[in-house]
Amino acid sequence: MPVGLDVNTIRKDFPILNRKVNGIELAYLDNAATSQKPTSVIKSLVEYYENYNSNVHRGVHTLSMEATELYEAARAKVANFIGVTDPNTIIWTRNTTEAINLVAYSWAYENILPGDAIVVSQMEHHSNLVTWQLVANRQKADLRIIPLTKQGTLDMSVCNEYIDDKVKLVSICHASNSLGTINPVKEIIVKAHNVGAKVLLDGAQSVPHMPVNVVDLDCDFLAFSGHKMLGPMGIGVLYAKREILETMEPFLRGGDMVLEVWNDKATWNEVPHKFEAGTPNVADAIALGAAVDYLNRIGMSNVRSHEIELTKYGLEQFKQFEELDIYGPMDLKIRGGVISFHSETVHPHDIGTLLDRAGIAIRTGHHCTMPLMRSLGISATARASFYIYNTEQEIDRLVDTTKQILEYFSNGKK
Amino acid sequence: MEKNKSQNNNSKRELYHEEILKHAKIPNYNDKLEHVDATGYAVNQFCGDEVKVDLSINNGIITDICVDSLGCSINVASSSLIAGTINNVKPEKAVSLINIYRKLMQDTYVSTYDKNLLGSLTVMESVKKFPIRIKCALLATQAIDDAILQITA
Repeated sequence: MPVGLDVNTIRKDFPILNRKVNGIELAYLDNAATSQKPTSVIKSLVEYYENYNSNVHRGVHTLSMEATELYEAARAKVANFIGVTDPNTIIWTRNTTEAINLVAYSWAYENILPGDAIVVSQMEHHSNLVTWQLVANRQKADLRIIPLTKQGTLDMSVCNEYIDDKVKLVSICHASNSLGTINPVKEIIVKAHNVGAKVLLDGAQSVPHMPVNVVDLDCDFLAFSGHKMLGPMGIGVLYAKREILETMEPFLRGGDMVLEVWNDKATWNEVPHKFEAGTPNVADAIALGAAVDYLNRIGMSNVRSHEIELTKYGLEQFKQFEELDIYGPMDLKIRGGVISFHSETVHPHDIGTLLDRAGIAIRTGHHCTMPLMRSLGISATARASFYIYNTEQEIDRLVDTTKQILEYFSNGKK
Repeated sequence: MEKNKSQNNNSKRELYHEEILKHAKIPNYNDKLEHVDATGYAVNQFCGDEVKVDLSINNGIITDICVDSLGCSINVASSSLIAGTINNVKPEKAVSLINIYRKLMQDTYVSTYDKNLLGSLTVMESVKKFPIRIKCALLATQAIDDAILQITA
């Protein structure tokens, strides 16, 4: 274990880890779906509703001013977390999906024209594929899908070929939720910028797990979700470069996103409020700020090192299962804390149900990446995914129980 | 740890009734039919499991079935068992048997007489302890409905 991360102390901060599932201590290994929440985040929600609850912006009473202050301070924390100084480049959304859709509606429909092209990859989550299918169809643009190598990495020769001067947008996941692959996004961003294309990074699986600095990466958009990084559900983030935000049309229309309204027209509020119509999710934004504080205390490099250790340990253990296919690159430098596996004889759902009987929570299914599953020639995988509170002991339990399940099914064959 | 192990083994027995395991390994009714009168298909959009059913009908009776099910053991076993239940009956009778099976799985009252009509298919009841998996046990019924609709429509 890296010195910087004391898992035993961390575990005490997560009340849910005390509970039992089917009479057995919970081993929560479904972090790519959502993370658990530390007491500080849960407390922050309670504290907001007990002490500050009121509507933000324009209120002249004390509660409204305090709530606004906390809400905007959370925006600044999130900005700082991804390496930007201007908090107004942070737009609150519900989740990654909504952030991607915001870019589609407010930017893509204005900037992607017939004959243009959009580049995505074969490992995208449905939210970063279906959105662009729609834009491509409506705008009569070409949707180019970068295929994968056998190791589950992007085929960079095709990627280079695809990113030509017709391309207006490259929208790609920073890390894959199904395979764990960490993509060479910096290289892709340089290529895209060379042909004048913008780049959207789906950071849902990277921002919670590793240091991400948007200034260093130079991406144009970054989308991520609060609930996968210790924050509450229902709050997500779109970062975009200020100069791009200034040119974008509003997303949803309504209160707070306007400056002046007449019977027949309206003018827009300034960035970022222009993109945040209606009463925002104040409590969850503030609690995401608390989650960011928590992650900052641990240090994102420590988070990443811990996950590398766990993944290394897990992959080593999984080698004993000759009958399992393990997906994604084996090079830990380009792999996040995800182990996706598949058996020819035991269906992932059977594995998932039986692991659950042993108190172990993993994900089984297509992980919202059906085209990826199809390209692998399977319909589903079993996926274990790690976070700061996971231990090698939990991986041992996963491995031992998986072993029992596989034996049970092969014995039953007689 | 010992305790965990025994608990775990128990739960496996609970979920996977021997008959289910048997049909999951070697399902019946999966040979291609020479003569197909109706075809049905169902997919579970959440997990991607699929069932394709072909029926042969002779003199108003289902005389042969081919079920091609892709997915978890509960899906495969239930497909095999359901096919056994509706083979050699009239399509209308097949629909009523399937409805009894659905009621059984969804915990609606089913009389002993009706339950007996299902034969070995009743082993699927053991899946009811795991509500999330009931849909796996019912996927084949949708495919068969789909096929029968083509004959009766």
